[in-house]
Amino acid sequence: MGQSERAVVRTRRDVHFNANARRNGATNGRPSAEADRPSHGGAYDHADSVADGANSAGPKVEFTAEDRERLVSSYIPLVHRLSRRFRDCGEAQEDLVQVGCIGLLKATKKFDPDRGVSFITYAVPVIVGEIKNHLRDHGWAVKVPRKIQTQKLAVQRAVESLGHILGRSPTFSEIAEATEISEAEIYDTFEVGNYGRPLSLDAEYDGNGTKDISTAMDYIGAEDPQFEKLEDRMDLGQTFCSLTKREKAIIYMKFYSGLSQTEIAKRLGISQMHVSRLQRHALGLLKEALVE
Amino acid sequence: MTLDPTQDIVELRLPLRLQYLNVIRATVGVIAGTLDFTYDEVMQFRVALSEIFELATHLAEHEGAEHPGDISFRFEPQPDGLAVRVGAAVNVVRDLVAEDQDESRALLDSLMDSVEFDTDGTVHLMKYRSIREAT
Repeated sequence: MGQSERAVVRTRRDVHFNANARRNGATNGRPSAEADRPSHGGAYDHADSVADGANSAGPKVEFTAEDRERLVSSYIPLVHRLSRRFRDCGEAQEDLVQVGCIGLLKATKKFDPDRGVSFITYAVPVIVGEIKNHLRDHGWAVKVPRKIQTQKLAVQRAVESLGHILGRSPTFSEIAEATEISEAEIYDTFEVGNYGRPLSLDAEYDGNGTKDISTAMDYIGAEDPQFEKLEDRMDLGQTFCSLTKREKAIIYMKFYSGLSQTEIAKRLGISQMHVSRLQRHALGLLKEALVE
Repeated sequence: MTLDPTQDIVELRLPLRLQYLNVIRATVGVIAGTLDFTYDEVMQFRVALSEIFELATHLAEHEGAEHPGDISFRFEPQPDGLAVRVGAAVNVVRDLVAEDQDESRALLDSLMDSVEFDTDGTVHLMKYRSIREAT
């Protein structure tokens, strides 16, 4: 713990130092190499002064790519922690972390030390905002009209605040009066929460303790590929009937019994060349029937 | 809009399939809401009826019949509350009274003012309005 903390502190001081150095015109202030990758332990817990050394007067300071790299890697644990807040929102944790990291990158780009606030103060709302935007855009698989979403929120707020005022749960007419949303629309908001998250087709129904496990996919029908084959087979069957007896025999022996042309020739008492010619003719007819 | 407490009886019959869960939730929400129950009470109705519905669908599935059968809800507004009679093709009562379902039983008892079981398999739920004087 002590070791990692020291590394983190040094990183921070380096960023601090860098920013100051550049403001003073020194462009080659290089951070010490051993603090390059701080460990993740608690990097954000006392990060109040990470990059705020530049909040006094002076020309605007911009981070170099290196500073940014350092900032990003020391704040990744923060992204993890913030994204955990949204773990029940139905999105994969990894996705939220990725989105949060985009927010962190934005924060490092847009952070202005001259505002006099520490980096973490700025970064947290940016990261959370990014995650919330993502959830708004992707969290609902079925789009619920914005109006109903807003109304749902208004109803929930009204229920809470009316509860405080009345000292009991409000009735629907009271909610309607307070929110100026009609009662019918309040009923609509009930069902909003349920439609955002469809079940995975591969999600297992365990049948509540019964032994057979199936997935939703098992209950969904599809066109049977055998139908197409059936049509082909009927076409082929018709054409097959129109072949001569000898051709039929050749096709049968060739493709069902697996005999060679020489063997077929022997059985039919004709030359192999003749077999070859008849077979080609028969196959040509069958192929034609399929193409049509 | 308030239902006439003595006249208007609403009945709903649904196949015992989970996809109809939302129908019963929405229905009881609207009925209880119009009867001047409070928001919390309406939510309690929703939870209670969902519980019975889920239990019944589970039982129907368990029995593995070709057709899952129906469940019916009869909403009978009273001057001071709402009574709901639930009858299902599967015997929910037997299961509710059985020991392994005492969680469902406890849930219903805590959400409703009275829960009674008929020998013919009907569940009687009764809940009184907390606000006596409807505004």
